[in-house]
Amino acid sequence: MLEPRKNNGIIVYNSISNLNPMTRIVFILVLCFSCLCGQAQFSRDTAYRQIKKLQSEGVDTIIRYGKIVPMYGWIEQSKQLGEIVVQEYTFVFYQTKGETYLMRFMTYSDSAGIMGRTAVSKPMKVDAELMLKWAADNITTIIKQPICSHIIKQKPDGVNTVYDIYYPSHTEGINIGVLVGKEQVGHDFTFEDCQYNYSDNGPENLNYSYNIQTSTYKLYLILQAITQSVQNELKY
Amino acid sequence: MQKILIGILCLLSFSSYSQDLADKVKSEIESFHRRGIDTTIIFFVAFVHTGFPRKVKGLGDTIMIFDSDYIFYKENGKGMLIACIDYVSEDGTYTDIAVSKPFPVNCDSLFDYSLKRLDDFDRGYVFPFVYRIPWENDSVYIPLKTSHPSNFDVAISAGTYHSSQSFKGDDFDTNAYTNGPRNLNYPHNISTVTYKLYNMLQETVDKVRDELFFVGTKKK
Repeated sequence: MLEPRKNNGIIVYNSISNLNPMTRIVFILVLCFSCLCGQAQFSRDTAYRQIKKLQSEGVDTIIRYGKIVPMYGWIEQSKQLGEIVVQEYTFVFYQTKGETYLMRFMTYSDSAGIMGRTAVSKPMKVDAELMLKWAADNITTIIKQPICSHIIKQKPDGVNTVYDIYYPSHTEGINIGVLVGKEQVGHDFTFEDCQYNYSDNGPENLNYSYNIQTSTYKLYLILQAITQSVQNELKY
Repeated sequence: MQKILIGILCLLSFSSYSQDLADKVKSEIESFHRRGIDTTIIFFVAFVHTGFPRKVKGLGDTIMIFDSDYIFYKENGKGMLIACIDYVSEDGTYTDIAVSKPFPVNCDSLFDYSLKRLDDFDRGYVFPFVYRIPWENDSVYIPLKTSHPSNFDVAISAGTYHSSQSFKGDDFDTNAYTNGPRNLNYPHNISTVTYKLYNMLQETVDKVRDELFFVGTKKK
C-alpha cells in the first residue's frame, strides 16, 4: 500500500495524504483497530523477552527494575532523543563474561508530543557486580520480605478504628525482579508504600518502618542510584 | 477494496458493541424510569474466576452463573425482583446474558430500612480485610488477597439520590480462616448499614433464587 518512490536519489515512502481516499480510509481503520488491540506495557514485555534470550544464552543472574506512572510521566533530557516524557521503563542488569551490563526499555512521548514511542538502549557496561552478587546471596530474604501497602489508621465514625489502604491517584508503580538460576522473585509496590506519610500532616504509614528495613527496599535504593547516574549516558 | 473496508468495519463493530451485564441492567433501569419507577435497590454479586453450576428455570439444569444483578423495586405498591445474569450454557458452547421475569417478593422492610438511612448508607464504607502479623519488634499490616474473591455492590437509587457501596465477602469475616489472622476492620464493617443491607439482600435472594424464570437470548 505504501509504495517506495525515489526523491532526489533518496528512497522515501508515500505519506498518507498521497493515498487515494479509499486506501486512506482502510489505512486509518487498520490503524484504529491496531490501537484497540495494542499493548501499552512495552518495556516490561520487551524486557521479559530479553531476559528469556539472556537465560537461553546461559546468563543466570539477572535483575529487572521498572517504573510506571499511569497517565503521567517523567521529563528527561536525552542526548539522542531530546526532551522526552518517559511513560514507563524497565532496566535489565545482567552479568556475562565477567562484565555487568545494563539495558533500558522504555515508552515515551517525543519532543513533538507524539506518544507511544518506544526505545531500547544498547547494553552499557556498569559497575554493579556487587549489587548482583548481593541480590543473588539474599534472594531468600527478598522472597520473604515484600514491600507492603501503605496502610493508615483512621476513625471514620469516631468509634471504631479502621485500617485502610492508601491509594493515590498518580503514583510511581515500581517492580523489581531477581532471577538467579531457576529461582526467581518479583515484587510490585508503589513509591508511597515507602513513604512515612502522603502529606505533611497525613496519617502515619503503619508499614513504613517495616518496609524501609526490607531487603527489597535496600535493593530498590541501589537500583535507583545506579540507574539515575547512568540513564543520560545510554545510547538508543 | 470495498470488501476489505466492510470487513474491517465489521471487526470494529463487534469489538465496540459487545453487550455486557452492566448494559443490560442499565436498559432495565431505563425501562423502569419510563414506567415511573425511580426507587430501586440493586444487589450485584460476582465470583471472580468461579462459577456455580445450578439448575436455572428457563435456561437448563447445569448453568454456570458468573455475575448476577438482583434489582428490587416496587410497582403499584408491590415489591418485585428481577435478576440479570451472565452465564455459560449447559454444554459450555456459549455465554449469554439472561433476564428473569419479574417475581413478587416481600421487600417492604428492605426499602423501609434503607430509605430511612440514606445518609448512613453514604457513610457506610466497608474497609478491606487487613490483618496484622508480628515482625521483629514491630508489626506489618497486610490486606488479605484471595485467589477467588466474591465481590458485591449495593446500589440505592431514590429519585435524585444515587449511592453505592462495594465490598468483598471477606471484609465481613472475623478471621482469614479458622484461628487464622484476625480482620482488624471487622468491628467497623459489621456496624455499617451496608452490612445490614447485605444480610437482608442475601436472605431475600436465597429465598427466591430458585423460583426465578429466565429468558436467554444466545448472544455469543
